[in-house]
Amino acid sequence: MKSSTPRNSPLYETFRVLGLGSNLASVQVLGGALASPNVSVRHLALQTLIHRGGQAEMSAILERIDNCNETELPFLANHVSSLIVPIEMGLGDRNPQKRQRSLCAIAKLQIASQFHHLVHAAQSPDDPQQIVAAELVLGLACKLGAEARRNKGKTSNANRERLLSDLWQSMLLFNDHRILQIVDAWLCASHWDDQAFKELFRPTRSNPVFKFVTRQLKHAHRAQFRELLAGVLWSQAPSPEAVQELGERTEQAMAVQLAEYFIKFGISPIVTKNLAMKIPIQCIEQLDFADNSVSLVHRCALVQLLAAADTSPDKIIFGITKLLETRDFTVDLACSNAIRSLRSLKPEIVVLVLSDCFDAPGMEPYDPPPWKSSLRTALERLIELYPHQAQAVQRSIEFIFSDFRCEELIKHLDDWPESHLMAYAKIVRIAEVGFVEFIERDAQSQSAVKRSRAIHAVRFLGMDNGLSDITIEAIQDKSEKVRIEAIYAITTGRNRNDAIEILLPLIRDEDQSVKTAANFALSSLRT
Amino acid sequence: MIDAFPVSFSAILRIEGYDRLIVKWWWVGLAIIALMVLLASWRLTVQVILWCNKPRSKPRGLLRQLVRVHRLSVKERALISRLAPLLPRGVPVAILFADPSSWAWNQIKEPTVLDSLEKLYAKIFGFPRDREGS
Repeated sequence: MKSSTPRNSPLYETFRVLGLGSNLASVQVLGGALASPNVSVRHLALQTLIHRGGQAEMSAILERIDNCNETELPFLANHVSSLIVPIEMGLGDRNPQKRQRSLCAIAKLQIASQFHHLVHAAQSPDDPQQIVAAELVLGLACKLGAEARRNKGKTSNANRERLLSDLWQSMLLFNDHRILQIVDAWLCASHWDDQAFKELFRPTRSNPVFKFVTRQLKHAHRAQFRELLAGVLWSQAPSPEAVQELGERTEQAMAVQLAEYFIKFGISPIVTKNLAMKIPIQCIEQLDFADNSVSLVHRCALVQLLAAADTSPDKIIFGITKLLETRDFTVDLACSNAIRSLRSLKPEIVVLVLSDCFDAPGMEPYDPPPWKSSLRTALERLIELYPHQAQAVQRSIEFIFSDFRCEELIKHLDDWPESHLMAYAKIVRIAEVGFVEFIERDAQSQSAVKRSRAIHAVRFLGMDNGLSDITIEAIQDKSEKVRIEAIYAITTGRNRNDAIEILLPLIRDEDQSVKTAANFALSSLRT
Repeated sequence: MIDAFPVSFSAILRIEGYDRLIVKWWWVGLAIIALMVLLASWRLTVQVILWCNKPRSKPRGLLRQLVRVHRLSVKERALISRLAPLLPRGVPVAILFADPSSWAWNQIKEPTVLDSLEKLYAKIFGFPRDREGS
């Protein structure tokens, strides 16, 4: 703490005089100056009193401890040894104000060696300063706990450890004093990696106090408790019960806290390991990603956490699509990351979900699983949004569907029902950029079977993107089978009038089979 | 009796040759008394010195010292005396030199006095009145 007053200023000269000699009248003046609204005056007064160093001076500082601000307190904390005696005298004083000031000094200056006095006053219902002491303990616990929880790993802070130890002793006597603030203070000062916090959730601990503490953690809505529980995901070897407790929380504030920590600490192997416990985190799973009351930054963090948490793909895709619908470019990176985590989505599952067929010939009839319709809606929305996305998002979508190959589609032409093939082809159009070239190459093959199968595949891939020209050309193919496939492909095309125009000349074709197919196709197009 | 006592004293102490000592017993007594007087006077001297150096509250002395340091004229001292009664009860007058916010400006109405006070304020604190809160 440095005073802004120059050394040659008259005010500095005044304080030089006040710092001299044994005149106790100076102490009273300096004590008065400590209450000044002028920051420079307060700093000079504090420095002068510390420099004088007598007991009266220290008592004057204690009297004004409430006026000290955040820059003055660390300065005082460096000279705490001079204050111990007046603090101890104040604690034993019958004057309630002096006692209160001493308790206040212990909390404000974080004098670890005296914490037990503070905790003792807070746990004694008959103590006249109990309410003040309890508030001071809670405030101190919140401050030390918040500092500790700024780091994902546990850091050593002697003051916090001493306070936790004193509060723990008091908590063991909870049944005698029943002061809830002691429990709250202990939790507020805790870090998720504290051994005692981990022990709390062990079912083997039979002390009823532990059950009470966990109940308080569950039901009291304090930001510090949310921090403590959210941090469990970043904890080294947390107890499954603690993760379970986190998973059961449903409030939006908990989701926001998780998002905060995700932004701050990121996803580490520890988080992945903790998420692998497969405990659903309801506050994220139940979050409406379209809800603007949660900031977009937090929603982006949560969708990534959701993806990392091995949640069912429909929930992840719903979250992603809701974010993509905002059309805000800031969501692209988070969505890309979340989409890439869906790599494990198997093609068979996607086909099954997107297909309408449940009991085609050659298939065993089955009841669709309950998540089918939800995943189908999500996937269809993602496919729908695909063309309007930034390149990074498009590349991620292509990446997760990279197992969908045109070659595979052609392979399954005979053994899959049409509905499955339609579903598969829908994804091939996204995932395989060169699918038109692939069909073109096969359509020009020497093998009539290959040509025929390529044109057959066009039926599912659609008649656009240059496939139309290939199919129209195939009508003139030398193979009857290829020509018939081309007729069917054109029939399934989108533009009915164009199809009729192309097929009309074929009703006079020399080849009887082609003629029949063309007639059949035209009649179906006209109805 | 005086002569008889050393004999019996030597007998009590059973110190051989005591009666042959050159220094008689009363010399020893005299030396002890002298030492005690010396110690008492030393203690008295220390107490006097401590009493002289004992911290005391001398508000007037402090005020005089501050007036001297700031080289206040008689007129300026009179202005301080005018401000002093305006301070809250129990607050020392010397606070007027340490805390700019202690000056009760709102209770001074005369413009000439206000003008003089502003000059005095700037002299004591080294900055004009409008920078009071900084």
